[in-house]
Amino acid sequence: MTTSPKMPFIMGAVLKNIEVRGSTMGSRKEFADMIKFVNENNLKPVVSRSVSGLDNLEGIDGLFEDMKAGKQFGKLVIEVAKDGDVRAKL
Amino acid sequence: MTDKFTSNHRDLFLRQHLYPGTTFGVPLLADGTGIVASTGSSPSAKKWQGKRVVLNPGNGWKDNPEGPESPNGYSILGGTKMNPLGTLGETVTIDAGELEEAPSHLSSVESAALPLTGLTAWRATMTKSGNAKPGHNILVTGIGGGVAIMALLFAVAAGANVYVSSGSQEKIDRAKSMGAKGGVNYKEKGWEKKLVELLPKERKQLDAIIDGAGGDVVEKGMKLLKVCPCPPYIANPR
Repeated sequence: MTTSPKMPFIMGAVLKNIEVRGSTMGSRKEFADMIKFVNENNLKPVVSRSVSGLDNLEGIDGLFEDMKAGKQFGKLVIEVAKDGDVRAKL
Repeated sequence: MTDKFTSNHRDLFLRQHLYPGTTFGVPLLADGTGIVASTGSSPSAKKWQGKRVVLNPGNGWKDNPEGPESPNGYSILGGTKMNPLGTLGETVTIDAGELEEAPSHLSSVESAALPLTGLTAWRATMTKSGNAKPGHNILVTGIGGGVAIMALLFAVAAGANVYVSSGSQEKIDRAKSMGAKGGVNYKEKGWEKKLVELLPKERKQLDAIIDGAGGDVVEKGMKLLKVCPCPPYIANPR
């Protein structure tokens, strides 16, 4: 959507009372509501793949390649520090 | 604050200068999770010390259901001149009011995957579609993308019958394992008819379509959506 700017809204849709509602991002309140719902329903976002290291340029580039090719199912994550390493790092 | 970050389609577009306001000097990426390493001296900031948090991925929008209140509009974190912050780095300094505690049942990698797509899918599915409720039929197109997957999870948890479309059977199968009632391959001719066959006998129309691709979705979707009182099609740019 962000890159294909046109989406024809045809007369037939008008006659059928179709509504198109644009939506992008959300408010601070919706962010809090979303996190609450995720907690209450034990929901887990799907991670397609993660790579480690901020200086792992090849790995990070690979994530972008996944996206470009539409290969991913879920999110692509860059780990800067492994869980448990974090405190040692600070 | 340090730790884990996720890339969004937005970042793919930013890297190609296809996004408004792309600039050097601001770290890429809007999603982040990590442990608060140090805080300011106010009690409201201090309470976050040592907590694992997720970051609200943008600024300028408090709680107006219509849209951002800020006269300068909404600004997303990462890679543009509109916002000085981005999460691709070891640390980020951010207002304590933009934090939420990371859900304890999620790993840090999962938490990093949540903010932007979670927020976008939440507003589109729960606030704007008005149809994420038991017995209603929702189609989420392009399953596999981050927003689409979160829209699927939210709508299923809210009790709706969720259907998906994808160009890949594998992705459709994954979606079914996550609670989708069924799915169709949009590369196959006549997928709209196949979708109608999948819908429950007692409700052969869609109540809403959550879509992030545009194109001919109005033309195709209008044949599937219910007529009145209010059949929304949600466009949800990444």
